[in-house]
This record gives sequence, C-alpha cells and structure tokens, in this order.
Amino acid sequence: MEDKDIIELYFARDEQAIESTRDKYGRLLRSIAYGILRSHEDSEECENDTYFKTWNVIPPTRPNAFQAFLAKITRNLSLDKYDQLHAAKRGSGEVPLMIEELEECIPDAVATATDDESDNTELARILDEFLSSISEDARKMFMRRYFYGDSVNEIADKYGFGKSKVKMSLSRSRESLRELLAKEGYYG
Amino acid sequence: MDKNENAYKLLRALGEVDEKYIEESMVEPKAVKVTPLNHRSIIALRWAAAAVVLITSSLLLLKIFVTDTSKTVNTSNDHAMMQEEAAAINDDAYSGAVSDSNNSYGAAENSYDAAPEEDYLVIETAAEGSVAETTAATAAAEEATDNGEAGAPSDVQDRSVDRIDVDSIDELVNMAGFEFIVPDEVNGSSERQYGFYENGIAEVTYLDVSGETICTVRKGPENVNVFVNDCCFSQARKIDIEDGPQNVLISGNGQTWQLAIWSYNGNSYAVTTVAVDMDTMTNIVAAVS
Repeated sequence: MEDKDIIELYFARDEQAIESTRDKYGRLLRSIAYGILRSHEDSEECENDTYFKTWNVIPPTRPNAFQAFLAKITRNLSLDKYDQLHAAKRGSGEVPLMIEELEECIPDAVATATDDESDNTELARILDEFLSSISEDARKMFMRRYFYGDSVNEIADKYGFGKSKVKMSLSRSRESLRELLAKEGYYG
Repeated sequence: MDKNENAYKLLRALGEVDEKYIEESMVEPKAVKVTPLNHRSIIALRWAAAAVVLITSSLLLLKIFVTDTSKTVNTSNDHAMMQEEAAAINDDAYSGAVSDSNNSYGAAENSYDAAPEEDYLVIETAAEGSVAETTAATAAAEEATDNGEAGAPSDVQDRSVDRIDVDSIDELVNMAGFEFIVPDEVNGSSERQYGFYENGIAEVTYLDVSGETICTVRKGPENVNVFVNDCCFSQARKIDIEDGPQNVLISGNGQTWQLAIWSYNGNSYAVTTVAVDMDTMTNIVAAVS
C-alpha cells in the first residue's frame, strides 16, 4: 500500500491504518528502536507507541515523507524510553558511546545552553547545514551512527566499508561539526 | 550544562533534522530470504524422488531374494564397500551432531512424502543408504545443478522454523545468546548476511558479487539439527582441527568438499559451501567457533 493511502486511512480514522503501517514499516521501526535500546522487548514497546503517537498526530499533521516521519517518532520515543530506563545515569549500550563521541563536537568554551524548544530547533538547523556540507557517504555514516544508533561494525557491514574507514569518516565529521558549532557561536 | 549534557542535546536534536537525510540513510531491514525452485528443478527432484523409491524397493526385493536363495552371495565390490563405509561415517557423525535421533534421517520415501508443495531444494536420503541410493541422489543433485539451481547444496534445516534476518553479527550474537566467530570472508565472498532461526540456530551466509550464496555457516545448541541435507556426496571423511574440534565430518565429491559438520563445546556446527579443496574447507572450519 502506498504511503499516501495509509495516511488517508489515518485521516479517515480507520484502524487499518495502524495495521498497514505495521506491515510496511514494522521491521524498520523495531530496528531503529533496537539501535537505541538494544532490547527486543523495549523495541517492540516503542514500535507500538509509535503507532499510537502517529494515530494521535495524523490528523492534523500530514507527513510529506511518511517513513522518515515514523522514524523520527520512533527514535524520539526510544530516547525517551532510554532516559526512563537509565534515569540515574546513561547506562550501557550504544547511547553512552554516542554521547561520548559527540562530546568531541562540543567546543571547549561551553556556554550555558538553554533548554527551550527554539534551542533545539536552532541546533537542528545547524545540523542540517552541517549534513549538507559533507559528502553523501560521510553523511550516511554519520546518520547511521548518531540517528539510528548503529555500531561501527554494523555500519561497516551495511555499506561494505572497512571499520577503519568508518571510524575515520565519523571522526572527521565530528571535527567538522565542532568547527561549525564554534563558528555559529552556539556553544563557544 | 556540561559537555555531556550538551552532547546529549545534540543527539536529541539529530531527531529533528531534515527528513531527506533520514530517508537517504535508511536501510531497509533485510527480508527473510527463501529461494523457491524453478519448475525444471521441481520436476528433476520429483523424478529423483521416484528413482530413489524405486531403487530402494528393488534393493529390498533383491535382498529378500538373495537371502532366500543363497546365503553366500557376495554383492559387494570395493567401490560399494567404500560407499557404505562413507555412509556409515555419515551415520556416526550425524548421530553425534544431532542428539535427537528421532528427528534424524529417516527413510527416503518418508522424506519425500514430507516434501511440501512449495518444493524448496532439500533432498534427504537415507543415512543408511546403499550405493544405488547415493548414486541416484547424486544424479538428482547433479541434474538440479545442471539446471542452474544448486551452486551450493541447500541446507534449510527445518522448513517449519521461521528465520529472522538481522543486520549484523553483533545483533545475531545478541539474539542467539552465544558467541559466534566466523571468517570475515570465504572464497572471495563480498557480502555476509545474518539470520537467526527460532529453534536457536544462528546462521551466517556468504554471498559473492552477484549475490549468489557460496557458503553458509551455522551454529546451534547440540540438541538442535543444524543440518539435515546429506543428499549429494559420494565421499565422507573425518578430520581433526589442531587446537579445535575433532572428528569433523566432511563430505563431498571427487577431490572437493562441500559440507562439514561437527560438535564442539556443547554446540553443533555446519558449514555448507560450493565445492572447495581440503585446505580451504579445513581453514573455514578452523575459523568458526
């Protein structure tokens, strides 16, 4: 079923919309959640929460890119779940490693950042600018690592690159992002 | 707000980037790969099944006749003895690697009766098979190969068990609950795929540049079938791996080898591959744990 047809089912408040979404994107959404949570049980829970949230936001929202729209929801829910599971500290899995790596992107002269929505939007704008400035391969590797939570080994497997190439590309991308953040004066 | 918190904020903000970047880097999880046979191969296998049943029946009748008429007739020759010895080794090894003897390799006719209408390429012959049975099965496999279907022997261990494709060896190990070390590449393979069967078997498949399977490595608990296909081999031998598994049963045809099965440290293993020489097969087995 085409995405637009599934979206129409949501607008018609037809519960078949959820089944169609599950059929078409269930595996994808579970894999995204698993990349963050590394737990099949929690991943399934996030997948189901994704359908629930999608049901609640469509309508009025009409997504242009349905699978990316779903992927965003699943990722955000997975990170929320991760926060909930590891309230005291970051815990284990890929997330602490991702955060540790992303610390390299933060310029040394760190200013106190605000927590409001506009701050997040501004960061996303800088990230968009950064992503548009790097090569397609580098961008894919960066997104697989920090959006989808893939390990270096998994990225190497998916794209048929050597592990050292993946590590090198990610390292360069983080350095580029750090420079851009400093230039934008976001943290520095 | 420290660096760690800012880094986490960055991680969260990545969830708000332009959707085109999310789509661009999206990798659809691999679908379960099941390769159905084409019509010609199905016909070939049905003929082979009929041939095996016919020959088995003939041999049974011949055996009855020989037993009744003369106790002194020697029906063996050197070649036949070698084949029966190989079949006997097969028997030993299978019973070692597969603890559930009730689920082992029954009579040929039963196996074919159980073949589903979908006809996946699985040929099961009697482990106690005679020369004639082995030859017929080999011929069938060769016919299937001639039809371009069987570069490597098929090895679906149980068609009723669902396979779940996973994206990486790490994920496979996580699902299986045991370590699984496999070679990075086999015979110039260009891609690896990973699957987990619900009965506990982990599987790594090696593909060549054209996407054809050239080798499959499986590991599972000792009490689970990791392999049920002994269809098309004219010889078998046991080998020992230095500092590794002992009594590894390898099977093949002529000077080449296509199958290895063994048990080690409470697990069963199976390797199926396109025909390779002894050194290559030994190296593959030695690299698996």
